Formats: sequence, C-alpha cells, structure tokens
Amino acid sequence: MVEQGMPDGFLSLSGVGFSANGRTILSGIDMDIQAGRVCGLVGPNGSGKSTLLKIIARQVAPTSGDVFWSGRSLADWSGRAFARQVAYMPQFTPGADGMTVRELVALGRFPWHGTLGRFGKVDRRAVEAAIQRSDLASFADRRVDNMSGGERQRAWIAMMLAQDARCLILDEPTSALDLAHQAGVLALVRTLAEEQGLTVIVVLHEINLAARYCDTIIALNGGRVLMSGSPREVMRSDTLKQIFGVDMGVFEHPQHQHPVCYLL
Amino acid sequence: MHGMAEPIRPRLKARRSLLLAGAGLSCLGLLLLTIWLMPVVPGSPEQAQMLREILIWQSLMPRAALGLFVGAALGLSGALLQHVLRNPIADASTLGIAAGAQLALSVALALVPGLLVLPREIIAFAGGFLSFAVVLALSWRRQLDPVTVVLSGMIVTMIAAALSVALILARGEYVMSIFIWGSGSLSQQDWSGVLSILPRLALGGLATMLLMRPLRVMSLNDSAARSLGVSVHAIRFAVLTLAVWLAASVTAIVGVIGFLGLAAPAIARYCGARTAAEITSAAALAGALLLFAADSLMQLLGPGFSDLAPAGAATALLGGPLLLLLLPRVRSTLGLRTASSVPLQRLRRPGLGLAVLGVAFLCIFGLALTLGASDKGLEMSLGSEFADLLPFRLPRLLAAGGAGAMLAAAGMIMQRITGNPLAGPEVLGVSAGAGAGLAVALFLVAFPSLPVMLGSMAAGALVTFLLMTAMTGRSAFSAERVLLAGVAAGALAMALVTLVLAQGNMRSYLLLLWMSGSTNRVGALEATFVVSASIVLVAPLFLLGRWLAILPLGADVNRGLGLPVARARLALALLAALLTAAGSFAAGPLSLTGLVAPHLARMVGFQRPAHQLMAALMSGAGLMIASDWLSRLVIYPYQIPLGLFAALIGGPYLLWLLGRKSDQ
Repeated sequence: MVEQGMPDGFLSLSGVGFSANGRTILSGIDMDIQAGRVCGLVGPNGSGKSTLLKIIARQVAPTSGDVFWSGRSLADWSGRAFARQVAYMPQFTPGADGMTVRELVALGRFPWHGTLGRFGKVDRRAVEAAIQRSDLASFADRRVDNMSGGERQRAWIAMMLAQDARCLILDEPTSALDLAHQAGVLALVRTLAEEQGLTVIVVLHEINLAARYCDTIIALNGGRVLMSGSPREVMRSDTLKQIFGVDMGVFEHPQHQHPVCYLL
Repeated sequence: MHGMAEPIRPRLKARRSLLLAGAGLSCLGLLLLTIWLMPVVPGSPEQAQMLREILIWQSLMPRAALGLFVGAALGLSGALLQHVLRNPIADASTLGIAAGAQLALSVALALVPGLLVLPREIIAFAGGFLSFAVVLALSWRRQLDPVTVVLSGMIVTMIAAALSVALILARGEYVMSIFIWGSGSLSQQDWSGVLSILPRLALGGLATMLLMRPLRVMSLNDSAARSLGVSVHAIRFAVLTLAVWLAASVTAIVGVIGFLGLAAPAIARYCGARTAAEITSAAALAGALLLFAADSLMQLLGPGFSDLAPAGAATALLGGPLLLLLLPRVRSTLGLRTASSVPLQRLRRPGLGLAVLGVAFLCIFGLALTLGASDKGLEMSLGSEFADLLPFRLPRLLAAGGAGAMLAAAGMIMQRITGNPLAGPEVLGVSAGAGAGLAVALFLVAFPSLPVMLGSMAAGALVTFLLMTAMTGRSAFSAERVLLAGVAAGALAMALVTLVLAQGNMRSYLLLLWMSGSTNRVGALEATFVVSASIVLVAPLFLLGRWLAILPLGADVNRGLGLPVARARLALALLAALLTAAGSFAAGPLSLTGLVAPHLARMVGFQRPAHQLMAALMSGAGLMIASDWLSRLVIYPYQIPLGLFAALIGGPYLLWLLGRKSDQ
C-alpha cells in the first residue's frame, strides 16, 4: 500500500465547482480536512452540501477544480483502491431485499477481495468485528429489510466498518430516524471515530446535532463555504443568521458545555 | 382532461381547422396519387380501361372508404375507453380486446366451425369482452391503476396471441393466410366490408352523442359525478360495452389494427381537444385519417403495387413508441408503490433445498424421457424401445432444458441489474428485440447462417436491454412502469417481426417457427449447440456472484464499494443478451421462463446469488422440459410448440403476481 501513513494533506479541495444544466451548484471551494476528526457539513436546503459530499466521495466528478486524497487527485485512484480508504453511505440506503445483516456487512469486503478473490480469514474477522462494534451481534442473522430504521442504519455503518476504510462519509444518516435513533447513530459514529482514529465527514440537517457530535463544522450557503471552524466558532447569532437567514439565539448546554442554538 | 370548459381562443381554433384541412388535403392527394400510380393492366386498350375501372371502383375505392371508417371506429372506441377508464393509454390493443376477439374467431374457425353460423361479430365481441373482463378483474384490487390495467392487458394480449398461434399451428392448415388476416389487411374485392362497418360506425356515433352529457360529467371523478346524479357504474358499463363492440366489429371485419385507438385520441388531445365531445369527434377523425394514410403509404411503398405490409401491422409500429412517449404523463392512482413487496423468505438450509430441487429435476427429466403418449394412452418405454426412442426424445429435451436454463440465467441477471423482481428477457422486450434482430438479418441476407442469425439476435437483445436499463437508471419509474415500458419496446420489436412475417414467404416461415419456439426439428446438432452454449455462457455467472449481490443496491453503493459499475453492467448485459439470444433461439420469445424461474427461486427462499442461480437454472430447465413433455401429450397426436406452451404457464404466473401484490 502506498497510502499508508499520511501525516498531512489527508484531504484537500482546490477550486472545486459543480454545475448541471447551466445551474451552478458549487463554486470555488477550497478546504482542507484533517485526519481523525468528525467533520459536519451543514447549510440550508439547496446549499450544495450533498453535492459536495458526493464529489468528495468520488460519486460525482467536479466540473472544475480537483480533490486530493493523500495528495493524489481523484482521477488517479482506482475504484477499489479508493474504496479501501473511503467508505460512503448514500442518503437513501437501498432496500437490501432478502439479505441478512451478515451478508450485507460482508459486501463491505469487496474492495479487498474483489470479484474473484477468496473470502478469507481476514475478511471473516473484519466482518465479525464490524458486527460486534456496531452492537449488531444479536441481529447478525436477521434480515435487513425486516429491521427498524435505526437498526438498518447501524447495519449499513457496520458494512462501512468492514470496509476497513480510514474515512467514513455519510449523507444525512439520520434523516429518516426519530430523535432517540438519531442520537444513537451519531453517538455510534462518534465512538467509532474516537476508538479507531477514523475521519468522518457527515452531512447533517440539524445544526444542534452537528454541534453536539462534530469537531469541525463547515457551513455552506449558495454553493460556497461560508464558515468553517469548531462548533463554538460557528455557533454564533450573527454567523447563524448568515447561514440560515433567520434570527437565532445561542446558549450553552448545561451539561456538555457545547453551544445550542434556537429560533428567536 | 378537465371538465372545466374555458372558451377556446380563436387563434387555436383557426390553427386547428388549418391542421384539419391540411390533413384532409394530403389524404386526398394520397388517394389520387395511388390511382395515378396504379400500373397499366395489360391487354387491349378498351379491355384495360374496363379492368382499370373495375379495379378503381371495386378495390381501391372500397379500400379507401374502409380505411376511413375502420379508423374512425377504432379512434372513437379508443377515446371512449380512455375517457371512462381515465387512462390515457387505454385502447383495444392495450386492453386485450383485439387479441381476445381474434382468439375467439380462431377458436371458432379451428375447433367449433358450427359456431360460424353466428355472425362473426358476435363471436369476436364475446372474445373481446371476455378478455377485457379478465383484465379488469386482474386490476380491480389495484383500483384500476392505469399502468396496472394496461400491463395486465398487454400480458393478456400476449397469452391470447400465443393461444391463437398455437391453435392455428395445431390445426396445421392455412397457417400463413390466417396470420396475415390477423395482422389487419385492408384489401377489398367489393363493397361488403364497407357496408358492414358503416352502419356500426353510425350506430356507435349516435350512441356516443346520446351519452355525451353523462360522459362530460364523467370527466370529474366518480364521487363528484355521482353527486351530480350520474349513475356512474351503469354509464361506465354502457360506454365500455359500446367501445368493446366497436373494436370487436373491426377485428371481425379486417383483423387486428394495432394501437390505432391509442394514437388517435393522443393526436386529438395534442391538437387541443379537451372536452369529451371534442375528444371523441376529433379522435374518430384522427383515426380515420391516420389509418387511411398508413394504408395508402403501404400500397405506394410496396413493390409492384402489392402491399408492403398490412395496414394493421404498420400502425402497430406506432404503439411501442407512443406508449413510451405517453408513459411519463400517466398519473398513477396509487401513488408510489413498487413491485418489490413480494414477501421474501429465506431457506434455513439452502443446500438441502438445492438437493431436493436437483432430485425433482432428475425425476422430471427421466419421466419426460421415458413416458410418452401413444394410441393406447400413456406408455412407459423402457429397454429396447427406450433405445429406439432416445435419438428422438433426448435432443429436444436437452435443447428445451438448455434454453430454459439460459433464459433463467438471463432473467436473473436482469432482475439483479435493474433491481426489479419482475424483470425478465420477455417482459423487458429483450427477447422480442432478439426477434427484431433476426428479422433484420433475414431481411438483409436471404438465408443467414447460424452465427449470423445468433449474432444479430444478440445484437437486437443487447440494444433493447441497454435501452431498458438506461430508462430504469435515469428516472424514478416504479417497477410496473419499467415493465410497461419493456412491454412497449417488445411490442415495437414484435411489430417489426410481424412486418417481415406478413410477406408470406420462406423468411416468414422461419420467423413463425422461431416465434412459436418449436423443438420439433431439433436434432443432435442443435441440441449440442444449445447445451454447450448454456455451459459456456452460464459458467462465468458463478464467478460473478459478488457483482450480482452488490448491483441491486444501486449505483451509489456500488461505486462506494469500488465496483466498476459501468463495466460490470455492460459485461453482464452482454452476457444476458447472448443468453437471451441463444435461449430464445431454441424456445422462442414468449416462454416467460426468464421471468418465472429466477423469481420462483427467490420466492422459495434462495437469496444468495449462487443459490438463486443454481435454483433458477434447475427450475428453468425443469420447467421447459416439463413444458416440452406436456406439449407432446395434451393434444396428442398433435403437438403445441414448446415456447407457446411455456407461455401458457408463465403468463398466468405473471398475472397472478401482479394481482397478488395488492394483498399487502
């Protein structure tokens, strides 16, 4: 592996822009994301956060600029080599008709064994470890399409873990969940990131959840990066007004000391 | 189709009358051109002049009139059906009426000639109404959702057509002539056809006029119409009866004129007709002009003033593209609901399940090899008799089994790539695409060799399948819509096949043989080819199980896992096209094995790709072998072609699946 151990320049974007059908969705995005951090992308609807995430995850090619993972341009990565480094979960996870949790998680080993390679001991161990870590041991032989929304989301996260990637990219993983499951899924992601030193880039709709679980918040509006920094730096009345276009107030969480915002 | 009448702007009205005048003038021009281009009859001048006059007044003129009246009747029928079913893609062809009428006439002609003392129209009406009733019953629980109704109608059409062909082939006589009649030729020798359609059209028009007020109210939804005092069910029943009667009468007089009733109201609406009265009258007019123009063109383009193709086959070319065009605009009454809600279970021990399936397969194979019908009834042939019969029975069983396995594998690939549990080479139009490829090959080369035939079939199949996957990938079509799009593409391909078929020469015979999927002439050579093709083409699939597991999860996830999506899809599509071509080469385009076998394997509980593939291969092969065996037995000493017989099993299975989803 060439990509072992990269001290700096983990992920950097330079001048990334995207337009479709004559409409500019993103323009001139420059940023660096450090390894080992949980990074939240927030912004109002149509701000381009999902598109940016898809470009970072190599799902969509940018129409201008470039993205560098470990100093290598996106175009220089082969599909499987990239998938060993970066795992991606789409906003709407497809129904895995008839598959069990273990079978779904095992698909995460594809980047490693490929089309014809043997599914060996290493793969099996990675699958079991991923299931354990996502607290799915008792569900391993249940069918994915019979599980509740929160459990299904955990199964997909387990699949990403089995991929043994260094970075997880999640597109609104909590959009269809109730409050308890939203907190559960994000807490799981947070713990995993801390335990294994993973980098996480996640699109979140709810700014308070982002402030609670992320180290860095990147705020987008109108296809540009408006603000990026720690939750404390971003969560201020004036910046929130800029991002979301409504008046908001901020107070400190009585227990965790992180900022919480509310509509005025 | 809103009942709110706003005054039509004068400019629109002017444009419409201009359009109408233009269409009428060009039709008149076509008629004059036809007369002018009519070849000179040989012989003495005055004799030639007399013959020419007879030709003009006893053949050309009645034919032109017939085209106009038949077109008007079908346009009116289509507009009425679309109006009361609130379904912009309803028509005698898409609802199974024409095919049902044709089947009833074939039954009467082939099996119960005594029935022919009745007017043909009554027989046709009974058949058309019966198959229409079946279509309505099937989609009743899905609240007559337009897409479901038409999908059921197209499948009923397919089954009825298969039955008709099976009947014709079983009786052995007049194969081609009946087939040509079935594809809607307007050739006339006197005015009798015109005299029989004219009063019916007049009666239909009159009835429509009398029903116009309730029809206008029916533009609203049922409850609103009911609150205005219209007895919705009675009116709907009356109008449907009228529409079916008009379409059935046309079928009885000239055969099946494909999709005209779909096109005419669409043209009417495109030209700006909105109210019930406008649409019905404009549709009748559009239908008349359209059929006349199509028929004239067929006459003019044909070599030496013989028809290029029957007018009905020509208009059938319109059906596929029109359906595809109209489909995005069809509003579903059900909202979003996909077809994947078939309950899936998992076998606890799939290995054991496969072993049981294997044993069952061997039993069927053994039974089909030894048990046969004779004049004394069923007879088991063992020993020397077995050895004597083996060279006759073994090749066709191997060919049937190999074809079944290949179609099953193709169907499984398609179901996995599209993520649509009801996909298959037959319902996505891929088999018919292979047929169109074959037709093109036959058209270009008089007697193509086996590789040329197979290559062109594979090319046709590949083009159709790529088209279908592009459609599934691009839009958020529900599973039913994709199926309907596939059926539409299949209808287009089959219309092409029918065009070549209607030539009535040796090529047509080859195509008809292919269409029926006959294993009658299979010898050792063909059997070897089919079996080796199935081994060569199916073997790679076992290595590609991981692709088959990941692909249904969609492009996002595939890319996320590093699967080369485009390459994987293309490779599998190519494999599926080859499998379809080779499989339908032996079993014809209709068998539906490619849908039934993988689906059945999944429903029984084989979920992992390798297990499902094994189970699908065995059930596909077993199904075809059993079909082949039964097709020898049921009308002994005659035989039904294998592909047709299998379609008679597969068609009802598909219909049952479509109806059953509503239970959830």
